[in-house]
Amino acid sequence: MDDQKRNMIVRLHEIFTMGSDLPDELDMESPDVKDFLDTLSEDRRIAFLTSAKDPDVRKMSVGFNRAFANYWERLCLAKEQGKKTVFIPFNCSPEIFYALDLMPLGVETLNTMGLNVEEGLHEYLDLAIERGLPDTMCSAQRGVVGMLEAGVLDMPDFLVNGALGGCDPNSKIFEYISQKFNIPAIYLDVPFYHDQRALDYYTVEYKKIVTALEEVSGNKLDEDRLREVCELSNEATELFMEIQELKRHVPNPVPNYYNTIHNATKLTMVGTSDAVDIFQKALDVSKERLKKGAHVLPEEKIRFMMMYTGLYFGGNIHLWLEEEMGATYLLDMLVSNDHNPIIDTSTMDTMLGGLAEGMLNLPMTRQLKGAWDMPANWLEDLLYYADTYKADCLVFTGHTACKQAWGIYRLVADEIKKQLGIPTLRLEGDGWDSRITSMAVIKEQISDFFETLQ
Amino acid sequence: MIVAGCDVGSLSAEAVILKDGAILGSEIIRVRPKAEQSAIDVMDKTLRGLDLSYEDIDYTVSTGYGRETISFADHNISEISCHGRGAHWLIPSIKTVIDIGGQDCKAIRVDKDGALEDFVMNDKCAAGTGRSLEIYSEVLGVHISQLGSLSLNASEPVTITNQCSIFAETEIMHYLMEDKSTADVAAGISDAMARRVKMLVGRVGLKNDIAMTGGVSKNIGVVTCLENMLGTTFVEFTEDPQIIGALGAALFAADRLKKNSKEP
Amino acid sequence: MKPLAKLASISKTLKNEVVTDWINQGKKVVGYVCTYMPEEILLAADILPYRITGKGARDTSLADAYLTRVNCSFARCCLEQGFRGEYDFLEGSVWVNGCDHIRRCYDNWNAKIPRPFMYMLPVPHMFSPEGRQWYKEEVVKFKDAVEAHFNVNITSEKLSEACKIYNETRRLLRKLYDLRASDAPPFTGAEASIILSAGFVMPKTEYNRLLGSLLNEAEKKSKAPQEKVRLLMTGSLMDDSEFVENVEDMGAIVVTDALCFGARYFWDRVAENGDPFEALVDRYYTHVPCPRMAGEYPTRRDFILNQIERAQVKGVILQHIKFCDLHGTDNAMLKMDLEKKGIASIELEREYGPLGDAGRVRTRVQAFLEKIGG
Repeated sequence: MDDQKRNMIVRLHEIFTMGSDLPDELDMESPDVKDFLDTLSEDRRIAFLTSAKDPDVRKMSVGFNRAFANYWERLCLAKEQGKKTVFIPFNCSPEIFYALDLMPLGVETLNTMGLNVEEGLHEYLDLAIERGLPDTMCSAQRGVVGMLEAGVLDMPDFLVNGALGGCDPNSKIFEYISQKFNIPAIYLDVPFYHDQRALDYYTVEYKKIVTALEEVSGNKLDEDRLREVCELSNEATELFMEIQELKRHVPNPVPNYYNTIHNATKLTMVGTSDAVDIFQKALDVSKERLKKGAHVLPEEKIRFMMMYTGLYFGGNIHLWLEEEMGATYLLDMLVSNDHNPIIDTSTMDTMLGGLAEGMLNLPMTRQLKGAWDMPANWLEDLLYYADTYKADCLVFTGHTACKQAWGIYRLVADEIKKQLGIPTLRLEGDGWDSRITSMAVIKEQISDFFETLQ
Repeated sequence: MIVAGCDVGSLSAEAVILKDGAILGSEIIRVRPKAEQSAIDVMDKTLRGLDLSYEDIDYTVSTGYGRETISFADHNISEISCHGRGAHWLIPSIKTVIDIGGQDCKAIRVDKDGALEDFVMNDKCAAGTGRSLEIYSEVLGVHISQLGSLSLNASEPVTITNQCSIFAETEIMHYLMEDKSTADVAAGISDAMARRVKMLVGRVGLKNDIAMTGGVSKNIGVVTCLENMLGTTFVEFTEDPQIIGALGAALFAADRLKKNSKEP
Repeated sequence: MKPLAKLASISKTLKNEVVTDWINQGKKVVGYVCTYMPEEILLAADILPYRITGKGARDTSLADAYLTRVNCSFARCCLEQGFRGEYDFLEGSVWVNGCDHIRRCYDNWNAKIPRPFMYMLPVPHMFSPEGRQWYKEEVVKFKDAVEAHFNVNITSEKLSEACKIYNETRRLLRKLYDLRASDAPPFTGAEASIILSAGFVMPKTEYNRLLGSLLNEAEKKSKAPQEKVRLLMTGSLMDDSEFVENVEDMGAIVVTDALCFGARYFWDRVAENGDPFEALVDRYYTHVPCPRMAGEYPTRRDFILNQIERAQVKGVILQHIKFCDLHGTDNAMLKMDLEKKGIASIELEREYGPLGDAGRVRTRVQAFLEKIGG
C-alpha cells in the first residue's frame, strides 16, 4: 500500500516500536547503525540521533518510545475494543479521560510527531487549507485537519476543547472540525483572571465537562478509578518537579531532549503508570549526570529558554543546540509546569478540583488568557522562569499563528530587559511548517544572537 | 455583426475581433503607461490589419486590470469570466482553467455553457505567480523562457521548501553554492510553483477537461509537474492562449449585442 | 443640513462636532471597542460612549512596533490613532477580551497611552448559567468602577431611561433594515454604513432624532425596485463605507448584514419590564453572538439564513480582515453551509482602512456578480 495513504497512527506505532528496542550499548559508528541511518529521511535521522546518540538520552528514549508505541497501539485498537476516542488540545489534561476509560488523543502531539513521519506534513498542512481552512490558522493543529481530510486518521468520537480565551485559532479549529466532520464538541471556558473566583468558575465548568463526557460516552466516573489516576498523576508531577530542580544547576545536567519527552508525556499520558516510568527514568539519568558532572557538550556556554512555543520541524533542534552551540535549552513555555498542583485525592470533589486547577495552570492557558502584566500571566512567569533557571537570554520563535503572543512581545521583552537585564531574540516563522522560515535560517539567527552574548 | 474584446493586463494588451461568431483577427502589444492608451493602440493595430474602423464595431467589451478605464468600450467584464468563457469557446469540453500571469494566479471553473461557476484568485504574494519565476530565473542566470525546458533535464531535483519568494530566492542561491545543477534547481522551482497552484485548484475543485493559460503556461516544467500532481493532462489550444481573455470579452460582446437587439 | 449629510459629516472625523459640543458642556466621553460592553451604564452616568475605530489612520507605522504584522489591521489602526493622539479627547476606554487582537490592543494602549479611566470587562466565551453569572458580576464591577471614578450614582431610574433611549435607537435601526429589505431599498449599503457609523460616535438622543427624520423622509419617497444584485455582508468588523461602495459599484446593493457594526449591534433589545440591570445583562450576554462565542456557530448561521430570507438576498459576501481567525473560520464554515442551501457566496480577505486594496476587491466581486448573473 502507498505509504502516504496509510493510517497515521499505525505508522507512528511502527516507528515508536522500532525506537523501543534500542540497546544500551550502541556503536554509532558501526556499519549496521550507519546503514540504518542511511535508510532514514533527513528529519528522521536528526530525530533519531537526538534521541539515541547520547547514551544517557538513549536510556530515557527507550522507555519513552515504548510507552508511546503502547499509546499509539491503544489508539489503533480503541475502536475494536469499543473504547471511545477524544481529540483534545494541549490545554486539556489527559487524566480525566483515562479515569473515564476513554482514549485521549492530543492534537498537537500527533501533529508534532507526525512531522518526522512525513517530512514536515506539508501535504496535510496544505490540504486543510485547500479544503477551506484560512491559511492563517495554526499549523500545530492544521496537519491533523489535513489528515482527517485525507482519510489517514479515524474520526474521533468527540472533541473537547479547554482553551477558550487563551488562543483564538486553537479553540476555533475545534469548532471547525466539529462542524466539518460532524463530531460533537464540548468546550471549556477559561476565565480572564487567575484568582480564587476564576478557579471556582473554572472548576464548575470543568465538572460540567465531566458530566457531559459521562453522558456522551455512557461511562460513569468511578471514584476509586479516579483516585488511582490522580495518584499516578501526582507521582508524575513530583518526579518532573524534581527534574526541574536539577535544571537549576549550572551547568544543567538535564539533557535538552528531556524537554521533548516532558512535553509529549505531560500532554498525553499523565495519569498512567507509563508516564511515571518515563519521568522516573529521566530523573534517574539526570541525577546520575549531575553526579558525573555531565552536561551539554562541549561545555555549557549558554543557558536559554524559549519565551513561548518551541521549534518542532526539521527533526529536532536540541542536538544542534547542544553540540554546535553548547546551549542548554532550559525550557519553553509549553513545558513550564512549575505551577502544576498536587491533587488532593481525599474526595471526588477535591480530585476534580485539583484536576481543574492543574488545567488552569497549563501552559498558554495560564500565561496568555489575561492581560500581559496581570498576576500569573506571561510576563510574571517569564520573569520567574528566567530568574529561577538562570537564563542568559530568551528566544521568541515568533510562530505566525500566535497572534496573542506577538501582540505583546515588545512589551514583555522590554520589561524583561529592564527588570533582569536579559536580552531576547525575536525570530519570525512557524514552529511546525518548515516552509515559512527554514531551519538553516533559524539556526543562523540563533547562532548570531548567541555570539553577541559572549 | 462585428464585435471586439479588449484585454488590458499588467504586462500586455490584446484585442480580438469577431465576425458572426468567428475570429476575424487579433493582436498583442506590450502595455503603455496608461491603460486607455494600451487599449487604443492594440485596437488601432487590430483594426488596421483588418482594414476596419471603430465605426464598424457594433459592440466592445473590455476586460483585464485596466478594464474600467477604457472609454470606447460599451461594457466591462472581469478577466475571470472572460478567461473561462474564451477557453471554453475554443475547446467546449473545458470545465477548469488555470491562469497564471505575472501578478496573480486564478483557478476558474465554468459550466457546460462556458459561464462562470466558481473561481479562486491569489494575488497576495509573488510566490505562485509569474513574477517569482522571473526572480528565480535571474538568480539562476537563465532566461525565463528556458526555465521550464531546463528543469526537464534534472537528475535529482532539489526541494524548494520556502513558501515566501524572498526566502526561496536565498534558498536557491544556497543550492547553487552547493554546486547543484541549474537543471536540478529549476526542477525544484517548477515543483514548488506547481504545489502552490495545486492548492488553488483544490479550492475550486478540479473538473476535467482542464487547460492552462497565462504566461506560466509556456513553462513546460511547471506544466508537467502540475499535470502529475493533479493526475490529469491539460488540453492544448490551437490559438495563442494569450488572447483568451480578449476572446472571452468579444464573445460576451456578441451576447450583449444580441440581447440588446432583442429588447425593443 | 439634511439628516444624511449631517450623519456623514459626524462619522467622518474622530473628534466630530457633536462630541466637541458634548465636551464643551463639561461632560466626559469614554471609548469602547466591542458590542459586549453595555453602553447604557455609561449613558446612565451621563457619559458619552464612543466606539473606537481606526478611521482616518493613514498608516500603522507607530502601532506596528507593538502590534505586529500578524495582528489584524483594525486593531493596528485603532492603536495607531491612539498613539497619534487622535483619541486624547477620551477620558478613558473600556475594553473586552473579544479576540486576541483587540485584547492585545488594550494591553499596549494601557501600557503606553493610558487615560485616567482604563477598564477591561472580560466576557465568558460560552453561554451557560455560570457564564451569565460571571458576566453579571463583571458588569456590576464595571458599574461600580464608573460610579467611583466619575463620582456618580447610577440609579435604576437612570439605567431604565438609558435603556429606553438605546431601545429607541434599536427600533429605528430595525426600521432602517426593514426598508433596506424591501423591494425598493431607499438606501445603498454604503449609505447605511455611514448612517450606522455615525450612531457609534454621538449621543443617541440626537442620533434618534436625525435617524427618525431620515427614515420618515425615506418612507415618503417611493422608489422603483432596483435591478441590482441583492447582497448580504458578514464577517469581520466593517465600518468602511468605501469598501461597501466598491462592492456596490459592480452592480450590487448590500441590503442586510450580520456585522457587529450592523445588524448584530442592534437586533436584540433590552426588556423594559422588570429589573433594568438584569435585563441589560441578559441582552448583552445573549445578543446575536460574535464568533468568539464557542459552539454558537449554528446560532450565527441561522441568523444569517434568516436575514437572507427576509431581505431576499441573492449572494453573500463573506469578508474577513487578514489574521482574523474567528471570522475567517466562521466564513469557511458558512461557505460550506450556504453552498449546501444553494446560496452563492464569496470569501474575501481584506485589510482594514488605509491598508485596503480596492482593486483586488473589485475584480473578485465583479466576477462573483457575473457568476450569479448580475
